[in-house]
Amino acid sequence: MGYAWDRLAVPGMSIGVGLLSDISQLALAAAFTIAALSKVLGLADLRRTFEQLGIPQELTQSTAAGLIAVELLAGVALAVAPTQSWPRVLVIALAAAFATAGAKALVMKRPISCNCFGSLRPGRLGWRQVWSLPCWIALVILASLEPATWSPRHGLLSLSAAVTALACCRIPGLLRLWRELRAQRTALRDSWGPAAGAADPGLPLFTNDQKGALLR
Amino acid sequence: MNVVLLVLLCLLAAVVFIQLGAMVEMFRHVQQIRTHLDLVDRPLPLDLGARQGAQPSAIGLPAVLDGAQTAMVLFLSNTCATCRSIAAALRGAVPQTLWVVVEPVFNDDADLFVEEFALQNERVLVDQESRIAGQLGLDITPSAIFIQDGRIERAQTVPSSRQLFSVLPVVRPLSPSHG
Repeated sequence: MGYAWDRLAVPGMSIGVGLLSDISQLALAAAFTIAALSKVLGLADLRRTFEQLGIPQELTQSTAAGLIAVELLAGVALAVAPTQSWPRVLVIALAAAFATAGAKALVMKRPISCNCFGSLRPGRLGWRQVWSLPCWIALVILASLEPATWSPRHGLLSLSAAVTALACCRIPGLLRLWRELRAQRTALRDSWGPAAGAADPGLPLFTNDQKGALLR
Repeated sequence: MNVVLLVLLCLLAAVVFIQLGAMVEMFRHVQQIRTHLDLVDRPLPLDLGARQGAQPSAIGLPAVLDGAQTAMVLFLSNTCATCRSIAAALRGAVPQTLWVVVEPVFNDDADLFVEEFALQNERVLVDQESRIAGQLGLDITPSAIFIQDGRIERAQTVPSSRQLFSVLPVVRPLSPSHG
């Protein structure tokens, strides 16, 4: 983003359009990079999605890997080579493919998991992918209005900042899950620990009320 | 050199992102296994049937509970592991709103149980022959019934000391009015 702020200081430049283009380009880069990285974790789910869409089983692995590679390529290229137009064309091609998949799921009338962002954002293929196509195209047009000219260094820095920021967004949820699991573990440990008499093998034990410790 | 460092930074950010995602997946997985195995510290509501809304003295509990605004009666057996851990967690102190009923199972060692966990207190009872639990239809321990305005309101299991302290009624003394 350093470049975007530098632009503000250049007199005579169309700040509004330029900044909008920069933001659109970065948003596209971040979205596709995050989508690719999220899919890495849910590769098996992505394969199932392809299978449900009618792709032969033997091709699902390569198709899933190919999609991740192409998304990653598009995301990184948008950040590193902002003057190039092919990454933006790639984005439109990917968006068209997503819309086609959404339309196919609608035609098939089958609930097919999207796995667009792995486990980050669960959902089903359908109208959302179809309606997203104009949005992707609009973002690409915005990014192309005044193509950014930042250096690859700025691009890499911005991309790593965006990925780190999104990774940090997962921390509160992760902590919440961990706290709950820890509380459960502690409660169970207390129930089965020495205070409960587990240290004394001669003591008749009922492990837990929910497992049928009958009074009579 | 700078570009190499930036590429490394990008890779590191990607690794952190994937690692955190993997941790979330792992935690969810553990949670799923626990739920499946019923290894979850979660209280279950118990059906009191016709006893719901009855006066505590009607089922053999002390008559003083009929006048209690809010109270909890905890049923512990002298043999169940969770009951022992809960009794140990009380550390000999029975909170003001808590009554403990000890159910002797298989033997008459309920007094030993009371002694072992230093529960000698006026709000600790030994339910000889499980009369109170029988009246309520309770057949699992540890469990608790809640009394509100002198009436039995509801019952639930108490799977851990954590759950006990989280559901224990709190009595707040009225603060003197100013002015």
